[in-house]
Amino acid sequence: MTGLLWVTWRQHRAVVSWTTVLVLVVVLFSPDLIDWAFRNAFGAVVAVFWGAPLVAREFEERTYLVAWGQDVSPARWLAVKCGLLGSAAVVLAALLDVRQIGFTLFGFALGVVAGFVTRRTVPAIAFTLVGYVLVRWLFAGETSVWLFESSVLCGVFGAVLIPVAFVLLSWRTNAFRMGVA
Amino acid sequence: MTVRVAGVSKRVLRNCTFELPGGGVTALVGANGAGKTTLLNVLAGHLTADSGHVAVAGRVAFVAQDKPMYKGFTPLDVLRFGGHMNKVWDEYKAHSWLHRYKVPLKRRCGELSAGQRAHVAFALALGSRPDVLLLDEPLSELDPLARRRVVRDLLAEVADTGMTLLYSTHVVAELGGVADRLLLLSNGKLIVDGDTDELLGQHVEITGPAADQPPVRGDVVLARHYDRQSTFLVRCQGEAVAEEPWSARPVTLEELVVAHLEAVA
Amino acid sequence: MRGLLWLTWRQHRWVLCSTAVVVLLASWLLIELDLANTPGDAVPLSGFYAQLVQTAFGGLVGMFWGAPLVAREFEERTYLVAWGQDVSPERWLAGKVALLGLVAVLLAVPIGLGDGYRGHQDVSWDVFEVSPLVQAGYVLFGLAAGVLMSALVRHTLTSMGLTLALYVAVRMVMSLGARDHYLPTERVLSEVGEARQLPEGVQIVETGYLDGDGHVMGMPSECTAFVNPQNCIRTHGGAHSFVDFQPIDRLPGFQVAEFFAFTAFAAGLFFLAFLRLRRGWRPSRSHRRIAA
Repeated sequence: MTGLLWVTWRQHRAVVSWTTVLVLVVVLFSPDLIDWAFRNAFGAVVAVFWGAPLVAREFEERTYLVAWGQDVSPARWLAVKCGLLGSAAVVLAALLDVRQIGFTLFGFALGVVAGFVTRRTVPAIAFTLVGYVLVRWLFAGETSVWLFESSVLCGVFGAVLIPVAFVLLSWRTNAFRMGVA
Repeated sequence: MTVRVAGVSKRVLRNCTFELPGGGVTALVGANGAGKTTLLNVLAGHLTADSGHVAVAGRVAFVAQDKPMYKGFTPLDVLRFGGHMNKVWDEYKAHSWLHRYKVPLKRRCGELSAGQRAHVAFALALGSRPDVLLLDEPLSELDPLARRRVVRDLLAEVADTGMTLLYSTHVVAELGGVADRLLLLSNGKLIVDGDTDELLGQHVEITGPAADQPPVRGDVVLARHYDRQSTFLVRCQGEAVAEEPWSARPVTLEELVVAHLEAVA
Repeated sequence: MRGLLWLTWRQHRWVLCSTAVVVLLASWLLIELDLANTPGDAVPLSGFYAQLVQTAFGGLVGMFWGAPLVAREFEERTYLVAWGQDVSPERWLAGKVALLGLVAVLLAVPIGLGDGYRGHQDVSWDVFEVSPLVQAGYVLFGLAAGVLMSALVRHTLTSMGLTLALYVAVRMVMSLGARDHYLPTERVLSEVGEARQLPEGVQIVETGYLDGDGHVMGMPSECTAFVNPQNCIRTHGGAHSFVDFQPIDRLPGFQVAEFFAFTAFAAGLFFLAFLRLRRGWRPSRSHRRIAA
């Protein structure tokens, strides 16, 4: 587990660090007028920069052959990566606004699924962005008070998408693996 | 048997069947598009065969033809990656491979030359101490000197650890003295499968006056007819004795492979 | 030029088509959607998402059209192919930018026409961005930002992120700060604490108090405790209340100014991108470069 912790950090340290900086900037400095807009955008940022490239880049650069050719099974690899990055994203979302947690989880999961579907980074980002905006619009109520319910709905949807990602993973990788964890 | 392939079909591959014993070096030879990469990917578990069955005993390491690697990782990062991602990891072995081939350890893989990136891929594969090592055209990015050294080092690895090595190549001249077994693929079909020493013993080239048939019993692989002369490359079951006016000579591995490939072309 | 037209289409047809589809769908929704303003302060969320399209469109063009333009060539190492021909890198980029820019501006027009979420109000400072001209300016700026980042950073994801950041930053500064000041504001004075009747539809830029000399004075700290601070302010020297505003008839002029401002930014960024390309690449067939 600590091994995959290092691998996840090493691969995603740039994007996680910059997002953290961005969150701190918004929390400390953003002008009141559009503060709400920035906080609400966090889910989209996580979806586009954390979720979509996660798997899509591995396919695009063909490094999935490296990542899934080791002893650690692809399922474990994906589970730990999603767990670590998802948790970090949730923590940052909570810093901004508790109601963003649901949107963030949904965006991240959608990005990961998009990566499996498109297998290339830019199309995955497009897919994710369109899907994220569409779903949030569909779940948006009449007023801002509905935001909490909408967040919960999106969070649940995101939770449903995670197993979808694993199904797509097993579809893309061979189930045959001998003598490996 | 360490590797068992039975009736595998996928893309261009059709009904591929062979078995490899443990601890040897097998060369997978064929023209471009013959199905070598497909077969190796199926063996490595990255492709599922449409039909047939594959079984590999032990842990597999695979290096694809384009030697993909994380461009942002330095070779040191790649070694750490290997250590974290594998149950068995031999840091010393991987590190000394990089050291031997003078790969700069702290430069990102995206900035290394193609040959250096290939070495990083080999170091990662060998460090995980696989039971079966699959290499897709491993020597293509290497200069002639590096090729000899890599072949020598891989043979030493096989001898030391009892690992099974299966590598693909379309450069036939590099087979001699390296491969214990030969698998010849043409258009997805396995046309030759055997021990190289046995194959060399079985094949003979017979030259003599123009004739339709060679004087020895066996399969004619390739026949060439001139005005007054015929040459046959024959695969015999037993000893081939050619009487006057015929003459027989043994063939090299290269001639053997080229003849088989030409015969089905 | 015909060759570059073919190349641009062949390389970017998926991106162009999918953006066009999304744009046409979004503009149709924007125009058809007819939201009456909800009473009170509650923000109609579906209206927010509608407005989001107009706010973000330029940035999206920048991220998806501009940011990968050069960066992908570097990532896939196809720049060796693209710039190893007789057409120079600068001409290659100029051709692509011209064509993509043209299509982007064409797509910006329907985006700028969608005002349904505001109940089809014709003239109001709230619908400043509902203007094909203004959207065209945003889209050119976004594309330029993307192209520049693409040329500076040879990594697609990073250039997408930087493009978004630059677009957001500039749009924020312009819309929160600069937009109100394209022309000097008009000022209306009144007695301290009194509200004068303002013309309809003005954009209020600033309110405050003036002292006897006509200088703007801040709210004295002693007066903040009072519910009705007028007397307190008067005793501290406050003579008038003022309201600075922009009258509604300046709206079209400001939209034109916004368009020119963003187009000027775009020109500057494109220029920098070309400079970078010229310095960073030595063509191997320079002696055969086609005259521009």
